Amino acid sequence: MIEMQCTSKGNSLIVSLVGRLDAATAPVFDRKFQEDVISSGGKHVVLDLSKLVYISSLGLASVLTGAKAINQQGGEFVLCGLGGMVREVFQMTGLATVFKVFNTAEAAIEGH
Amino acid sequence: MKDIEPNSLAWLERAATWESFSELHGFVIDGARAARLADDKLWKLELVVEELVTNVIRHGYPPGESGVVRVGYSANLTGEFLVQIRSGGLAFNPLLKDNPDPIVDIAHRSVGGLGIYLVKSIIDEIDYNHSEGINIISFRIRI
Repeated sequence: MIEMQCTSKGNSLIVSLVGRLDAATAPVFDRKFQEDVISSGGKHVVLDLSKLVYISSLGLASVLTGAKAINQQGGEFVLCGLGGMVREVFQMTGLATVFKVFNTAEAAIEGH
Repeated sequence: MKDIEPNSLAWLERAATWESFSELHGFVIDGARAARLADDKLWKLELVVEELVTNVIRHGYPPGESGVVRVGYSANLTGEFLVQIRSGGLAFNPLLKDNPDPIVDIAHRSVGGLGIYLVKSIIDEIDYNHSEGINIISFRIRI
């Protein structure tokens, strides 16, 4: 199961994920992210993963694909709230150094 | 790990399709929970089983050709949880796949190739065999 909640703060759009981003839920995330974030023209997107409890390679591919789309339309895509296995998986794959990562959504907005 | 006796494992066989994924994955993970696999190892098992099963679904059979995937597990008396994944199709050892590129620029970073890399990062000892037309991947994790 995956839930996605979007909250606007100033010029930033905080996209919070709750649940698991895996083979079963990545297609759901892809569709929602396209509809609610990319199509809305989000310019500074903060993907908050603090309530994400599990991510697999297909989930990582979805996050990377979303980031590429935001960057291609001239926006900025950052991550925050990596913890537990999610943090370990980002570190194992080297993706923790590919993205700009903040501890909290507030820090991500301030860092913009 | 060629000594694993198939009859000693609990098995589930389903079509190698996305519709089967949750059931195949859940079958092994429920078995691990019942064997009281520690929480810090459970997520690693979840990840490895997902990567190996989805690899069969995505690449195990040529386009247009249907096939099955069997997942099996056993909690043995020496404190190990054994997993085996069997599939038909062409002989293909996914463990020989190249590691992902180390590019740190998002625009040029490939979105694929991370699954098997994660498997090899997490599991120290994992075997691939091809026998009588069946691809067999076996690994064990201490409970």
